[in-house]
Amino acid sequence: MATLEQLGTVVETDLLVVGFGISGLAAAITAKEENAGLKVLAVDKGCVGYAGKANKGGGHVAFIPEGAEELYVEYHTKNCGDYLNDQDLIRKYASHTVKTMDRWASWGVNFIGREHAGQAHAVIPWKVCIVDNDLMIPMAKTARKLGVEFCEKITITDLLKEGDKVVGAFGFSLLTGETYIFKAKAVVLACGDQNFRIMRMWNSGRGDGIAAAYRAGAKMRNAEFGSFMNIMSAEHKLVAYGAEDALVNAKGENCSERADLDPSLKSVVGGVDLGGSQSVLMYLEVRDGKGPIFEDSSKNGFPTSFVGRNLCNLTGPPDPPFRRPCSEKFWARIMEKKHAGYRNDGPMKEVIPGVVGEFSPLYVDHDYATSVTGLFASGDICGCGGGWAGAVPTPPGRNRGSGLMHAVMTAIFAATSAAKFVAATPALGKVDADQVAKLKEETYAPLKRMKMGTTTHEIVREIGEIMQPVGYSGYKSADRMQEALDRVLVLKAKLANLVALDPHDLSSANECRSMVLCAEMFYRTSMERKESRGWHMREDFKTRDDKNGANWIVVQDKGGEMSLTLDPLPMDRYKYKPE
Amino acid sequence: MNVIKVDDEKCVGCKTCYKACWLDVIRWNEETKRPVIAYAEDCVECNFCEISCPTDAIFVNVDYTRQFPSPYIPRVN
Repeated sequence: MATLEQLGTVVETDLLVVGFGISGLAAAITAKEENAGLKVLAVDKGCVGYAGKANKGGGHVAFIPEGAEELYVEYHTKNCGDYLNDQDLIRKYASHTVKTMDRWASWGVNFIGREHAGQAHAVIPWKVCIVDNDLMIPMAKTARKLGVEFCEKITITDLLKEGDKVVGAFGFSLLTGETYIFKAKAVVLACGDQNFRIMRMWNSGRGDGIAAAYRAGAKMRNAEFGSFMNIMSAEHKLVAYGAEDALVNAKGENCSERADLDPSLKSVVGGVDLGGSQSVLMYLEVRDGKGPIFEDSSKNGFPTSFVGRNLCNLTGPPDPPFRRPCSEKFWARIMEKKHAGYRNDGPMKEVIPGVVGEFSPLYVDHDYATSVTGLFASGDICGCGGGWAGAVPTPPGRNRGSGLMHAVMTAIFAATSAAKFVAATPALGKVDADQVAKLKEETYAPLKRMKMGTTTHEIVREIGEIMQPVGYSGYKSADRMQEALDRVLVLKAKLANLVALDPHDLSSANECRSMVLCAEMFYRTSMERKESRGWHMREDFKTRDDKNGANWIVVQDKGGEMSLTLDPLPMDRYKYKPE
Repeated sequence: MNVIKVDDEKCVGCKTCYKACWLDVIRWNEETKRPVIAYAEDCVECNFCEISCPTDAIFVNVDYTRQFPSPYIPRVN
């Protein structure tokens, strides 16, 4: 039998952080601040200061001012979470946004406009300020100064266990293919959610961490809500900000509203909170032969609004208090290429819904521990699984600015818990060489197959065809979901024949395995929820079922089968109940 | 697919484009001290390599014609 050292490079640490996008960086920093004596190592497929997707967004940071917390909890529960949210945890969230910003600022991040933050919501005092898009550079410097160590260009594919406890992780180098065996007293998964590689700017979330946790026996929940959609240009494939209020069908009719849409869908998925019903509206128009759908860009007020002007910089430099050198360069370049991608100069631009996904079902408790001992999680990976957002995709409620806040706040929670766990764990666990040898054989198998098998690009293309159509993932019905699930299961069978040409492609092969698993979980849980609630919209069950629907659907691997169970919400002790 | 062009004359070998690419599209040649566009098919035109380059030596030409999945009605093969 081979020893661990014969199987790969063995690296020992106290705490392993998987992923060093913004949440992983925040977790690593927090762990060192909580306990400077801990050895903290962070691993990612990317490079320090640039990994993940936080630096490719609008840089919005949303917070709830002191004194307004309960108003937010009530509003979110009724209008976004649709009574499926953990009301205790959302209260914890609401009371930590300001504290999070204070700690985050001490890591070198500058909040622009915090003192005079804009009102980001029509009803609740949801405030938004901004950060520059290079915010992870000062955070990385802080981490290094505190002694955090980094391993770049390594993908983690599985977790290593001793009995029921996580004792490390298995991965390989994208550059050389070399195997890495990490031994750790605790692991924080901060490696993002699942975006199914459809919308290109949300491309880094490929679900590897979700799949690794699932295979390690971790619980998942709220998997049926992971099909967030944005509206994008059919011509340049980038987000068409503000298009939802200026939609026109092929007959020239305004279709930003539709009278025959079920009232429950209108009230639950209204534009101001979630902006989700538009994809259903667009789908119904097209199904009725009134497509394609256009954005009348002359009627889109977003680019010149406060948000468009100062936060996304869509129409030139923002007002002086909101200047951000990196963001302005980033958005200007995006806009230049966007305009170059239009086929003509007219105001009517064809738009389509684009699946961002934000599938994020990894279950965590109120301390951001998963159901597996020694395994913690933060950021997008557990956005839905955390349960506090309820019936909506991560980040909570899709309110602008909640993504960065959620990433950093949950990192502080998870790393604080993990640091305590490590301090109470006297020694590294035993990593089983047999488990590693088996993982190595399975993981590297695509490299050894003949080139006649299924390619990663074929899987990615088919996953897109299964997860993107609104008829499958946006406006659901039992028949269509069964058809989609059948297609997922065909792909699942093809994974046994997957080929990879080199370590980069081998990483894609692992991501394909993760995408297929996540798609299966999405459709199985979506079929189980026989009602419409929040982002989960069903044509065959159009209303919320408070009698039978007040359960979290929990998914877990049981002997190789995907097991679904119902976990009733403790509605009796929750303050806000359905009327 | 996107075409990523590097101007070797303008490039100063700082490696920032390699670091900035989150999707492993850009690799680095340690001998020539220049980027290698290894996996252009995975580029998502975030342009972070471009905006991070101190000498404007790298440019992403976007392919606007690439295939997108069927947006509304499932396309059955």
